[in-house]
Amino acid sequence: MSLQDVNDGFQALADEVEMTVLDNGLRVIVLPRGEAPVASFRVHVLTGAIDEAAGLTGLAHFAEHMAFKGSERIGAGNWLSEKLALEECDRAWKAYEAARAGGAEEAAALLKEFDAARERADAYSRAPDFDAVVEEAGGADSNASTGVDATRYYVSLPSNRLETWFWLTREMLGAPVMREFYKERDVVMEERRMRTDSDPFGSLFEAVLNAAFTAHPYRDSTIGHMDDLARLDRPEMISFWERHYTAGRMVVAVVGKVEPSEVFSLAETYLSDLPVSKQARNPRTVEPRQKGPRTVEVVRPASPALFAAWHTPPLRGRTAVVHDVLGSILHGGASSRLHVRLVKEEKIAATVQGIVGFPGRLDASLAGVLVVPTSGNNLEDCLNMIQEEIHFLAERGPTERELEGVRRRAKMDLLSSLGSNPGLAGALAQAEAEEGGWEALFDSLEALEEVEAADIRAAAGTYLSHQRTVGYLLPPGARPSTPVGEDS
Amino acid sequence: MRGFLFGFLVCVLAACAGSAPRVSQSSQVPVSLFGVPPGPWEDVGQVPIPALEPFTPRLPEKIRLSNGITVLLLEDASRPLVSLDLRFRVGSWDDPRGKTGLAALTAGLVRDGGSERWPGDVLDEELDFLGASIDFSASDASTKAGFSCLSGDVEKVYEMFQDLLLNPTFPEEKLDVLKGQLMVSVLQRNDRPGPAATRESRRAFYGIGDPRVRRMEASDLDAMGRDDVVAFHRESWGSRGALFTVLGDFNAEDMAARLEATFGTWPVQPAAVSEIPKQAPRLEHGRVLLVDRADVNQAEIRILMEGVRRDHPDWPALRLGSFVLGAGGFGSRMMRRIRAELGLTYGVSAYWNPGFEQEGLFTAQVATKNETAGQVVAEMLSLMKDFLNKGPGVEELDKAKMRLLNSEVFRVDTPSKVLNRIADLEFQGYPWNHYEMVMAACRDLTGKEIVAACRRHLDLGRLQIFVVGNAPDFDVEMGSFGPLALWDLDSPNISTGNSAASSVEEIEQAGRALAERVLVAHGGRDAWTEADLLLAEVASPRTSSLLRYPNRISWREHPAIGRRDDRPYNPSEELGSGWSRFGTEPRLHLPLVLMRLARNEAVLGSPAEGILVVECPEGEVVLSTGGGGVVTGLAVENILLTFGEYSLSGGLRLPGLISAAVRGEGNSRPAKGRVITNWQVNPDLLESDVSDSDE
Repeated sequence: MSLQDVNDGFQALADEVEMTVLDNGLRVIVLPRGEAPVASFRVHVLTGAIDEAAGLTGLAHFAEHMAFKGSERIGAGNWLSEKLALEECDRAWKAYEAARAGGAEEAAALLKEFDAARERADAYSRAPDFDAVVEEAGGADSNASTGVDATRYYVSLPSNRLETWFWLTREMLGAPVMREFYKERDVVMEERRMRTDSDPFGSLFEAVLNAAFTAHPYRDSTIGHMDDLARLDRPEMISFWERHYTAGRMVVAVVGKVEPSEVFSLAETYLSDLPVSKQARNPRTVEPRQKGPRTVEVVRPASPALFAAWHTPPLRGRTAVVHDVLGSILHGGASSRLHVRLVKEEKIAATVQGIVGFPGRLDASLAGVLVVPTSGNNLEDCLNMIQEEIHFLAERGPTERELEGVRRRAKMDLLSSLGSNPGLAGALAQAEAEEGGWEALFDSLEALEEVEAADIRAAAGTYLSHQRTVGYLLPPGARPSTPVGEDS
Repeated sequence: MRGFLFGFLVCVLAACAGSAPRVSQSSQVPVSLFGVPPGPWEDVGQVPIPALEPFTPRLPEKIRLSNGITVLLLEDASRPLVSLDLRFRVGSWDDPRGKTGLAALTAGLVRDGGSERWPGDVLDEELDFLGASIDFSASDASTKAGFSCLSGDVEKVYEMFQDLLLNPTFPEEKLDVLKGQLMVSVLQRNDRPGPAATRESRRAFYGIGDPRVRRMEASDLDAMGRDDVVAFHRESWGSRGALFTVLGDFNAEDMAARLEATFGTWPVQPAAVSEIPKQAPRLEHGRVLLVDRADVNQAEIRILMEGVRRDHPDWPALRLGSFVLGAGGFGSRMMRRIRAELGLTYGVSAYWNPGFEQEGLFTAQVATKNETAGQVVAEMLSLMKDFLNKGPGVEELDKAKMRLLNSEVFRVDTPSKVLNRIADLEFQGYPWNHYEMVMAACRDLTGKEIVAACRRHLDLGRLQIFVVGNAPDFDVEMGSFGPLALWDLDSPNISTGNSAASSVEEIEQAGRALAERVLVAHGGRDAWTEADLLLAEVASPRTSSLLRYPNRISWREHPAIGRRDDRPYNPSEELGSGWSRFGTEPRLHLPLVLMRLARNEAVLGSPAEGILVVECPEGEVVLSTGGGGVVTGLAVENILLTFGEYSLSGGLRLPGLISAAVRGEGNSRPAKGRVITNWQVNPDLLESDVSDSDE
């Protein structure tokens, strides 16, 4: 089968995709496919950590947790009483928080009152019912993820549960009551301890973001600062949700053994009265131009590593394709330039990995390279060689064979993702929500054909050494430029 | 056979599809208090659930090459891709002693080194250009090799793949790169506490000598050269129990002919007889192992016990029991209680994980902040106890069955999942309908049967609780959950008595060699041979004096000093009063053990690198040693001493700092399960102190 046949295959698949836009602006995409009686669902919501106000970091991700806590119709023991108890609990928290912040003596007593109020409210909660319905229906991989730009909810179900999914999704997106907020806050803090605090790379990435961005909200990691998390309250959560979880910012994708007409009809029934988006997303401060290289060090008992990042423009359309190709040439695979130079030729790195669009793609972002050196005393060499390779690429450009390889790999990646309903649902929803239309998923291959060596040279030329941020992960006592002990 | 295989799956799904809507459209719609009003159905239970259409996944075609090698072919023309995998029976568990990692290194070098025709770097470049991949990797008991590519490139990539497999060149240069990468993985292995806890809890459970938990060390890497790889490849790779699987857009006849032409002439080798034990160890009593780490704000907890094999008649009941107790998502008791109700963790689970050949383990695991580590352990134990006492509730069991059975379709909903699952069964000699039989059994199980099975396999008195965390921040002392010992993530330091597959002679020989190094490192054989008063001291009622006056002993006995130390003892820190047990256990005294070694009054063995098992008249002692033979730890049953900050004391090297842990009994536990005592060192000797030379 030739590459042209592959392209035809994509076209045939694209012909099967159907989309409708509900009156409230919510978009629904359906792709019927496969033999097994299953379907995968994706809700892509255009809200993320960049929508958080100062001092409220972590709210967007926390909102994703609250989505699974049910509504007044699911997860409620006695909704009328619970509602009053929840509001009482909010007041008690506010009183305690004010006293604590003011250093008042009665803080301890108020904390006790809050704890009691919380227990009273929690006593009405049947929050696990929401997940239970999904799991008992046979739901697989039910979860969600929150990024800086967007929040994604996903699950796969046997295809006879189509309407059950719409029922649950209406309650989740349209009527969450944020029960068990103050308890879930503890769970989120545990998540932070696990993903960021306990993980050396998690800490390193967070430190680089904190340094690379001084004004734009990409500066704060999505999980949120521990101190902010400890102070978040339910009224803030409700107001965040009301402002951002609106129909115009949602895309639903359903892929599997389903009838498009049935999906559209259920979407109309269940989702057409979700609130309309009345306002655009918050304006974000444009990150000022970086005027000199920045360096951060994360010192902890861990093996040394280096994460270097360069500023990129917002990654959409052709710009995204060009920077992705550049990333692929630099660090995509065993024959990529950085892998060949650092791992194979110089043997100073054990692994080289890269990322384009870190932490997001909506606004001006970063392209980064993570290097684990073979020994702690060559971090500076690693950095210099990376910058050198970028320089070569900016001067001489990629070979035609490199470009052709990137195109083929992109096709293989897309083909691989076509093997899974969840993968397809996610890719379609993402393209529709963030890249101007689901067709972008397939159009990107065409755009790839048009990328030329000059584009790559130009993009590489923007990775300037004085606009980079370098994070070093170092064991105690080590310095990046001097020999680093192998283990301490 | 195929017809019957998946037939019942559909019935299962239909059975659990739920009842018809209980009430039709709700008549009393309350005013919405928050968000959107109710949709067509007030309650989710009213939502109609149509019957699920029947589904029978296509199964692979099974053929045999003329030499008996099995091939499973599953055509799937939905995408223009082909993937081929070969697995055969040799893996990391077959690594020779002292060369842990050889199977992985061999697989890596075959791939990265390439062949004459396709040297590794040329191969990488061509594969990247094609968008294809070739992968070789070794796991515990098998090695896997395979490729995936566009169907148009299959001929070319197949040629590369078979050339690699049959004619690898093992270039030295690539060996160095791979060893460098593996060395980094050794250095990184404790960076994340979660994976470190998982690994070390298993090492502790199986015993550090057990081949199933052998850990690659820098010394293993140093010991492995090209010759080792070549020999391992020659002796271990081949048709041993080999199985090919091919998936994708290909023609079955052509593929079969292609495989026959290349591999049909492969010499038939029997699957090597594995000496790996198939049983998991049985602990006689429960125990708690603690890794005290100041740099973490979250405790990682692993609770282990021996499990069952997949073909055990109790496995269906244990699987369903797991779904009630701690598996299968948010619906299990563990998640509901510890995450949802108490907010103490992001994730918690408990389940049996059976092997095809191996017994596998029961594992419960969780991470929680240090300050609630004890509370979480207590909750988990209490949930297990309650479950074993009362079993699942009727409704709870129904729901667990629905979670388990309704999700089963997702194990066969793509051709790739079907092929992988059948390949596992075929490779392991299990019937192709194994999973269906387990599911069928689960469907009919009663709560009584489940709890009876779980009681047979979960004994709360024999659990190993392994905790990595910052002990001073714990809310509860871990010793309150059972006899406590300290564990070190890096140094192998406790033997549970399981020795490696090596011969007894080898272990003894290694033991004698290690004992010599230990003696040299601590002052020489002569010094300890002449330690006359040692035994008398230990045997006397004042046994604890040995620990309190270690320097006195060394003064009196060491010929190089030739004088007695008459100065009064002035300990910088007295031992805690609760440490009497410490003093009544003569085996805990390093000087005594060294004396036994020097006088050849012990049976010796070294089941793993740096581990010396000493059977002396006082009983069995396990020493762990660092570089040069300096003793880093000493363990007797549930008591563990970790030595640090060595000082020279009259030419004898003795620990200046001891971390100790003993079984918790009433008040006899030291605070935080740990006590530190400084042994006094004669100031006259400090000038000649060489304490930093011990690593």
